[in-house]
Amino acid sequence: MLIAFGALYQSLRQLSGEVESLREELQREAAKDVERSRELNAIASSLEQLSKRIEGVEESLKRAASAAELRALAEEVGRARAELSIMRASIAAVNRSLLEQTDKAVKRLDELKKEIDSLAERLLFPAKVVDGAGDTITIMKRPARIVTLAPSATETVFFVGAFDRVVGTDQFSNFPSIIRQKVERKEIIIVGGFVNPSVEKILEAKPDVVIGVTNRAHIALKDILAQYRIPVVVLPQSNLSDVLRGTIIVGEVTGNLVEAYEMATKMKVAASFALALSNQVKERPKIASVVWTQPIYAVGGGSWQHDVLSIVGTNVYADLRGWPVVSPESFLARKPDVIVATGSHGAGREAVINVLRSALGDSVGEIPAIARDRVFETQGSYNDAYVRPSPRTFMSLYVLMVAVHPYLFNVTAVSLVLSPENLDVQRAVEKKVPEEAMVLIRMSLER
Amino acid sequence: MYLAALLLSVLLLFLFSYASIALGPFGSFSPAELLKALQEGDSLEGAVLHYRLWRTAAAIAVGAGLAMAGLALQRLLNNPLVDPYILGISSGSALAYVITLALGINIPVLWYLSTFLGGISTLALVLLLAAALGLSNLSLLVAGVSLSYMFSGVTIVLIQLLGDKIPMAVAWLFGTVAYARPDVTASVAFLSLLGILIILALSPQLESLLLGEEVSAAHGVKVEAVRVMVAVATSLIVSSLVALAGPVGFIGLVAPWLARFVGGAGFYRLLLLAPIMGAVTALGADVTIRLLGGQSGAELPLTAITSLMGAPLLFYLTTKAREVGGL
Repeated sequence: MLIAFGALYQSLRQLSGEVESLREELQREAAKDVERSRELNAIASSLEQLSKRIEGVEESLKRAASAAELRALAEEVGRARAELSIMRASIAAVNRSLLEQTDKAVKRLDELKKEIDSLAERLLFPAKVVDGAGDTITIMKRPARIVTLAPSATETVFFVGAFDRVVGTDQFSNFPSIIRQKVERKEIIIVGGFVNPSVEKILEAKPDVVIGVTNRAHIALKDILAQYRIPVVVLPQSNLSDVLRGTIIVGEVTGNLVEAYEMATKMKVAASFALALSNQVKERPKIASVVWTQPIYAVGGGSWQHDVLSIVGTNVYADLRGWPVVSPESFLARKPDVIVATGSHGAGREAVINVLRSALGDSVGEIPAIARDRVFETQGSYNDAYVRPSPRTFMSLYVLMVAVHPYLFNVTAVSLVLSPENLDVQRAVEKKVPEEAMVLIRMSLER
Repeated sequence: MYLAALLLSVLLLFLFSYASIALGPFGSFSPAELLKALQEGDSLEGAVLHYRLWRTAAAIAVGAGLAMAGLALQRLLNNPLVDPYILGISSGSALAYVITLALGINIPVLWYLSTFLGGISTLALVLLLAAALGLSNLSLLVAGVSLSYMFSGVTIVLIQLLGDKIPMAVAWLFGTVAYARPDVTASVAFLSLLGILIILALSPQLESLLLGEEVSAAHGVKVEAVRVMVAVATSLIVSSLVALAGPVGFIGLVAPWLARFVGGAGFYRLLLLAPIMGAVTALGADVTIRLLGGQSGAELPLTAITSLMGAPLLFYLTTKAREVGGL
């Protein structure tokens, strides 16, 4: 074990050397290029912070070598990877000649990740994981066969790079799209619905672990599958920070810790960048989001959708919890500037306008969103990303950012039907958002 | 004739039990494969078989128990149209169960206690309400159905408010044995067997109630005591089954009537035939939802199937009773 840590220590030393020389190079360039010196120095100073953190990890590695240490290391390396990728983007923007130097550090980080992965397999397991239901679950070995019980769980497993180990999933999981072929080839079996998973089908998949969400049906499965020594881990899914927490939990369960921390960092950056952008707008738009029209169910406070709306603007139903039934009149009182209807759930744009018009008559024009025709509808994969609490939700965040604040992205016309066919979110935000957000968006679009 | 009916129903029970063990989304077992799976408990097939055996046991317990409870209620209230589901006893127990779970209580004994209290107080409330409406066969139905809707409503509101604190509520709300835990199944089977035994022990007194209270009293039957005991036994059966499988609808109505159709109306005859018919009904419904779910494993709740049998029967019986002036 000590020898393995020795190799890790060597890689870390080399990485800090790499980072250090990159920093020196940057400062030399800064001295030469007065025009760019401020930007280059800024990057250099963040590199310095990074190398200090790496030194900190080196120090702690010298003292002890345990699973907890490895976890902390994985967290740092995950963050470093996320940070280095954004630095790479900003260096590329300022000075292309320094890219080669940067890539060395990136490559070193990749090697470091591999070493952590191989160590994790031996050191992390048996892993004790606290899941979304607050239960401590012991995962005996790095699971080779995973069953997921919800689209958001499947997607999270994909984002931490463990999708190739999924052997069973629920009938609604449709991302990544290769699921369909895998089901046809019988590499993945369907184990039932979201609220009615089949115990028999789960047994048939012979999973080492089952990953569900904090859904009553999945929590109840824990007791039943315990009989067959199959651990069930449920992911929290109330809001956006739960999505981050769930990603780390999946990282712990699958042993892909570095990827999990890397993704969590990217999600954090993506969210805070979007918030910084929308804060530039003088008056935050008031948004209502409708998920069903018979009766009208709106997005209330305390959900991931509420978090998305609160980053883009303000949610007019923030004071109500969950997904409340609201009256058509309440739209007159709360005057949303924008309405976001979830297309695939019987609440399209037309349905929302019609239900409001038939209830309110001519006074429907008093609702700013209707008067100015700012009633959007999410469709296809953009809709899935918005209605499911997964890392993909951050893509839907940028879809809504572009739709509601097109001028921030120099986009002139946005279709009211938000689908991949009508709006290429990747092209719209390219070079205007950090690399972290771009990675999430590209992965969400499977590009 | 009765013997033939009995033989037929026992045969059906074996047939349906076998189907329940052999069929499912995992794939069907041939008799040879079943034997093999039985011997190797640790194999995948062994695990699936273990799961199906307990599921089958749960369905039998649910069917037999509800049939017995339905029969006892029909006799107790002298009303051929009632069953625990229609009278709201199931929803009352379900509400109590959800409240217990919402309080974070994870001790099976307390589940059974609370569902029992929920069930028996619902029965009492239904009788009071029906009396207020002028005690008749129809007023009993109206009181039961209204209470049942009210309790279901409160249950749904609670589930909406408390979210994940209540495991399995959605599938369980409409009855299912797909998630029956072996330990719960065993203790529930014991409790409902206890209820069934009480009813069997009281069957002579129950039979004499049909002759009218005065005659019974003249025969030395303590009418009130018998009524209370039967009510307690019925609630015990229904409420413990609710903790296992949720409110499963109409089996308490369908099974006694199926038994009457094939075996005649004698009470003692029904005491044996109705529970077997109940088990057959529950097993048939459970196998049907597995077949409907197909390879995907996504299954419907039990009440989706049993109400397809129960609701038309209720309508038919009500019209018939009206014709003979029974309502």
